[in-house]
Amino acid sequence: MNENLFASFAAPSMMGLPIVVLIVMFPSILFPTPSRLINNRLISIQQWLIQLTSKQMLAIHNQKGRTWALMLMSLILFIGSTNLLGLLPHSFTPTTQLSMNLGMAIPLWAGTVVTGFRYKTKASLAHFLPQGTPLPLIPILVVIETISLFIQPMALAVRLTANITAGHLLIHLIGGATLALINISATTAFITFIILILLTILEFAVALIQAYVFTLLVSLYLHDNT
Amino acid sequence: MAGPETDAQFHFTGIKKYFNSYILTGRMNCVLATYGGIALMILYFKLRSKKTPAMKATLTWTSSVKFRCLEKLMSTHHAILNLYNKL
Repeated sequence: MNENLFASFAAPSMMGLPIVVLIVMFPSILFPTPSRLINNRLISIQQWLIQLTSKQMLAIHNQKGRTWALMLMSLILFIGSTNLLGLLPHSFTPTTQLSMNLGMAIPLWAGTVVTGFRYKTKASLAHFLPQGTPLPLIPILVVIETISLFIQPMALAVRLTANITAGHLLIHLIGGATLALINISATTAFITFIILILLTILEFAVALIQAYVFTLLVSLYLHDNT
Repeated sequence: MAGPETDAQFHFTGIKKYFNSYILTGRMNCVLATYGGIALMILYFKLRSKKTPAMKATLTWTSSVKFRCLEKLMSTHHAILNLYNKL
């Protein structure tokens, strides 16, 4: 039972060769490239969605922050599509791997911090001390703010990993429970099946929300530093 | 949001002009002073001597001239005794 529960989170391999890179690259095939001035319906919908998201996300940014537009849009599309594809049965979800999420969170967070220190050194340093702090609290608050800064990438990565992993585990468990209850009590199995359907709908929402939250937080860190 | 435009309303004198939690420069200086203080504390604990006063007194005695003369006398005495035993 234990081995089955976490088997879906193991890095996949085919004939001894790891295929995780192919799986990570797979969502990019699902986004067609616009090749004409007036495109077909699918590409037009895609363009409209990207424009809507980018307008909403970049509204708070200045000229410097908007140079990150491509990075942020790629991030939300990648995480959203990867999470949604992971809801297919027997598929592997790269965003359940902490290594993958740390690999996204740490460079992006470090990029925003380095940008802030490079172009606004005084403001970036002053950010460690909230305005109006009483004198006796200054040293401890500086230490607390420094710790909270370094926890940001960890929180970003762990939030995404934990949410997606927990959702997949719950689906696995409740699906297994439904199957086991069919022979015991059909009514209970039916109720469990309804719960499974509701959970799957929730997981669709969580997949998109987590992509949005990850990108929004990176965008906020960028806004603080530009 | 803090910035040069809001800093103009504050007028500090003396040391508070450079170390306060209201204007940008003051906040930056407080942060740098805190980091500097932590760095100095770490440096102090790393560099301070780990030997106790008794150990220091023993080491001072063992490195003194008197002790070295005594050591030489004892080694000469042992050499003479060994020679006498061989004979």
